[in-house]
Parts: sequence; C-alpha cells; structure tokens
Amino acid sequence: MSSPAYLTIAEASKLIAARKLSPVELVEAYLGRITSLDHLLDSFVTLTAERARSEAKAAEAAVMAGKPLGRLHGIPYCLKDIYDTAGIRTTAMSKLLTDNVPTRDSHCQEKMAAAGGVLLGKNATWEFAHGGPSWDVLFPPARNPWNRDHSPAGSSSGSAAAVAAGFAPATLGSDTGGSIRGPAAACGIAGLKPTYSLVSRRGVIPNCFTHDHAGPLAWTTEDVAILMQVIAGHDPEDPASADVPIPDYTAALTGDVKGLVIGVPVDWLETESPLTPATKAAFDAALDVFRGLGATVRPVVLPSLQQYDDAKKTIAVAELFTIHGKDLRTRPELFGASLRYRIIAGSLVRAEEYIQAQRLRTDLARAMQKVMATVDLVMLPTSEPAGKLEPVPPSSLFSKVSFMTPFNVGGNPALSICSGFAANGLPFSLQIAGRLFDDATVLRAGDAYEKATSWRSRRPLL
Amino acid sequence: MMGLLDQSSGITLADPDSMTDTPSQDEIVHLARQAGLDLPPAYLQELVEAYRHVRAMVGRIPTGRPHGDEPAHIFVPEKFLPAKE
Repeated sequence: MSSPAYLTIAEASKLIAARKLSPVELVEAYLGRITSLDHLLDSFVTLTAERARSEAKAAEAAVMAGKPLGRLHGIPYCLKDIYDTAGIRTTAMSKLLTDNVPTRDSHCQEKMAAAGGVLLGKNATWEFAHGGPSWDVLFPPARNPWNRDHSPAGSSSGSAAAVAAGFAPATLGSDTGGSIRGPAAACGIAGLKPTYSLVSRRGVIPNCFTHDHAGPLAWTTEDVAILMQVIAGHDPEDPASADVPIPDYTAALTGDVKGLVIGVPVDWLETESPLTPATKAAFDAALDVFRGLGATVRPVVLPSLQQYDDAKKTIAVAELFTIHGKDLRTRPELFGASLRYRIIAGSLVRAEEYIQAQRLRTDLARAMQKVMATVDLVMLPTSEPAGKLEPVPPSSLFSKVSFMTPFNVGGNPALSICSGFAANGLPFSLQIAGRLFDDATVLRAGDAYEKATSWRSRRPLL
Repeated sequence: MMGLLDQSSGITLADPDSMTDTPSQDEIVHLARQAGLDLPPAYLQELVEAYRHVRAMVGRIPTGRPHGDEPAHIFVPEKFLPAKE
C-alpha cells in the first residue's frame, strides 16, 4: 500500500473496519502532509490538529472495542471556512469575521461528526464564498496543486486543492453559481452540487439564499456518494429543506449506464460560449466513453446561458446586499475590493427588479425540467481548464456566462468529475446534471465513467 | 413594451432599447444615499461602475408579465407547521 493519504474513503473505511489501518495512522499521514506542504497551496486557514488526534484516538479505541462504526468512522475531513464549527473560528476569509467563533455546529458538521469523521480543519474560500481571488482579505488565496501558478477556481478553492493534494479525502463546500463544481473541475476531483434543498444549509454562512447549496467534494464519485449519504436529509431548521426519502447512493453505483439518454446543449457549447478545440476534444472523448458503455447521446435545446446568468445574478446581488448591507454602510473598508464591487450595486436593485428576476427564474427552472424530462442526464464540460492565479477584474462576474449557473437556477443536481488532462497538465472536466432529486443517477454515471477510464490514477506532485 | 421571444424557452425577453437609461453619476450618488450608503469617493466610483453592469443585466430581464405570475421565491405555510414527531 502506498501512503494512506492517497486512499479513498471507501478503501480506508474497509481497512479501518478490518483493523488493518488505524485512524491514528491515517490522521497522522494527512497532518504530516499538511504541515510540510500546505505552505505551497494555502488550502487550509485553520488546522485542528490536536482535536483531530484526539478524535482519531477515540475512533481507534472504538474499533478495538468492537463498537458499531459510523459511515465515516475514523475518516479525516475538512470544511470550507463558511461552515460553523462550535469553538473553532469561522471567518469566510473576511476581516469582518476575524474573531468569529460560533457556539454551535452547522447541520452538516453535526452529521459528519455523528458519522465518526475526524475534523482536520477549515479550508480557504473566496470572501463570503463570492468575491475573489483576493489578496486583501484575511488569508491568501489557495493555489492549484497541479500547477501552483494556476487558480483552483472558487469559491471552494481550498477544499478542492486540499483533496487533490492528498491533504484530506473529503471536504464540504458550497455552490451558489458553481462554487463546488468549478474548483472540483480546476483541481481534477469530484464535486457534487446536490438537488437544491437536499442538504441543509443551516449554519453555513449564506451567499444567496435562493441559490445556495451545500455539498461534498472528494477524489472519486464513489466517495462523494458516501458523503452524500451522511449529509443529505431533512432539517426543519433550513426553511428550504426538502422532506423526501434519501436513497442508498452507494448502492446506486452499479457501473451500468446502458440505455441512459444523455442530452448535450450544443447551442451553449458551439454558439453562445464556444469551447476551445482541446476542451471540445476531451468532451467528445468523454461522450464516446458513455456511448461505449451503452448510453445514447443527443442534442437538447435549453434557454440561453445569458438568461440563466441574468436571473441568478440579479437575485444574488440583491440578496447579497441584504446580507451585507449593514456592514457596507458602516465599515466598507473591511471588505475585500473584489467582494465589495460585486455586491455594492445590490443597494440600487429595486424590489420590482428582484421580483421580475424571480419570475424569470421560475420560467428558466421550468424550461430546464421540461428538457430533463426528455433525457436522463445533461452533459457538458464544467469549465475550461484552470487559468492563472492572478487578480481578475471584479466586473468579470457580470460579463462572463457560466456552464454551471443554469443548474443552480433549476436546482438540479450537477456533478463535476475529471475527464483527462490538457497539454499543460491541468485537468479537463465533465459536468453531469440530472433530474431534480435524482442525484443517484448523476452519481451512477460519474462513477461508471471514472471506473471506465484511468484518470483517477494520476495525482499532482508537490 | 413589446419583447422578443426566445424560441427555445418560450420566454418573452426585454426590449434592448429599454436598457439604455443608465442614471448619471449624480443620480447614482443620490440613489445610494437613499439606500443609506454615504460612501467615500473611491468606493463611490466602484458603485458607479458596478451599477452600470447591474443595470445592463436588469435591463435584459423580461417585464411584460400577467398580473398573477408568481415569483420563484414564495411563501410556503407548511414550513411553519410544528415539526412532525
């Protein structure tokens, strides 16, 4: 066995249960890598080493005592630094929250701990999961482990970088317009934006209430499914939380995608936001893998990316200002310039405009479900491979359309997985979106693709 | 106002001619003060620039709607019932 730090959750769990791997040994492997290498990536903003060691010892004792083991028994994980953690600083990378120490865990943290997970620490994000990358906030931005001169994308930047670098096998992020999938794509890992309302956001610092999703990132889709089993479920303290049965996501990973119908929004990819030739080639190759597994592929027509972006961003800028208005009025200098620019104009969005954007959102979500009823899945690249890590004009938020936002507007589950590597060594990505509450089929497809290809055998070298 | 029809979605788009009425800088300062923002000059310039982008975005959102067209963000009374045992 190579370093335990490169084990998946599925592999490590089996070894722990069989008493062939100690949770203490596992946590020390990750802590060793983080303390010796994270100065290269800045993926962690808070390390909870002593707590992790203590939890790992308790997990080891439970194994040796033959006690029942949770789904994540002895598995280390980390959290984006917008998840409340009782007694542990939660900053959202913002100078406004320098001394913020929550007194209660977020719903997801409660679930992860109850499942036996071992908390390693908190990951870097863009400020309040929205503005970035920034060099004028509480901590430096995370870097991409495949090439440190490149961006890990955002806003769950440190989360994705940490998993790809072998600093943790699991992490939780958030996704309002692509903030789980974008970093997962940039860092070559798996990240799921679940169906809206499937995972509670209670105790997760909000970005835009009507589009915020909490969700998992891991090296493989199988591990994402394991994490979903832990965190999905009704929470009466999240007003949007759905009270629906939770399927067995791991059991759904049959490897069988024969007969599935895959829709491709060709207008988006060829006309509205054309792919580069290399990304198109990687995407075509991924579709060929699915054809080889027995799926069929056909074009679908969805409303324009621009409409999805306009609806989401108008709603977001108004909701963001609602959240941050008091601080913008009284201490605007404590915001990073990028975030301040991106939310300040929310002060001037009129109620009528916000409501018209909500009406458009309804239309666009309906249009998405209408198309989804004709196919099993929609596939497209998540994004182009990661660009350089450098300051970007904050206005780019308003001027660039995204392949990810439509699934936040629709609320549909959408997974990003690695689909190869560009000539410069940076990962290509494949986005797999599905019907509302059919996260299991999305995961089944992602897992089948990963097992039919060899991309999961390559790791970044630091 | 007559809008354009997006054939793929059946959604009526806003008339692009209606997007050109961007307020002047003085008007934006006035609007910002009404919103409780009394910003130093550097941040005021950020607001003026950012608002031009937001204005263009908002201007593309359809407005010709039936009276009864509910927005996505609606009140759901079931959410306020006592939790099930």
